[in-house]
Amino acid sequence: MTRVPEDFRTITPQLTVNGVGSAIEWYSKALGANELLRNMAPDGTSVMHAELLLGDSRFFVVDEFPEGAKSPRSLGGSGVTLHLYVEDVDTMFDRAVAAGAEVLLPVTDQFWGDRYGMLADPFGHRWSIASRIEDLSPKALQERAATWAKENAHE
Amino acid sequence: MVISNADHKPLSGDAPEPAGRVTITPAVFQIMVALADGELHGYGIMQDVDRVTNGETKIGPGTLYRSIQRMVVDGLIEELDIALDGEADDDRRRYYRLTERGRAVATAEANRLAMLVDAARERRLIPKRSGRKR
Repeated sequence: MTRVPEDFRTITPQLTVNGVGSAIEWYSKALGANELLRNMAPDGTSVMHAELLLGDSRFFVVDEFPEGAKSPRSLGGSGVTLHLYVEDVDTMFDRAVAAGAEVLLPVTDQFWGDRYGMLADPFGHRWSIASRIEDLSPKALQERAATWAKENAHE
Repeated sequence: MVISNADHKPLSGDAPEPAGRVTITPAVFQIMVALADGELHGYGIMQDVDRVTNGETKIGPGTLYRSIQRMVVDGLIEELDIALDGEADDDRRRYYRLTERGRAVATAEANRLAMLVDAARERRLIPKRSGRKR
């Protein structure tokens, strides 16, 4: 048996929310996540661990506990953005917004070769969603970024 | 850890498909091979993998059910409606079978691997088959 479970990628985010039940419902409906398991805390109502599948990746969702990480709602912001690559960014983005996500950046073609948008889910977590539309070399990306910075410098 | 109140139900028909691509891990391929002859329950899949690899590969229950969840979501396998042993609450007695799509994906992957193994044989990475009738 390998010590790295085959079905996990190297990095697995754990999202702290207020209300895992409704969060899982939202991630399922809006993003297409699928729940594998849910472990209740000793209090019988909070969830200490839940595991979801999203595309080929997994993420954990946990309720906020006094001794644990704070939810974005408690923090009044989030220091992390979760980035998704999908086949059809527009469909997924529209679905998330229809389900109640807040648009931070509408989907647009970006200089780095992605069609890309950003949103905040109803629990305060930030997501960027993109589809790759141009396959650029690192050199081309550097040039595009430099051009973009120059063009936006005077603003 | 319990596998769960959260059933292995496929996504509802209008749910988005975030990845849109099928990931064939070694365990996923082994499960498809195990199901090629017909439906099996989880424990039966684990036994089959053990048998066809002469005990060299074992799929543990965690890998098994994570793979199964992904395969159901990807439409490669489906869970049978009936619990053949009448033990619906026992995850190890849930039965699974290949879908049409799953069979096509498994066949394509088997062909891909067979080509690679043939090439490896040609280049003496592994011995040529002896005693094979031509």
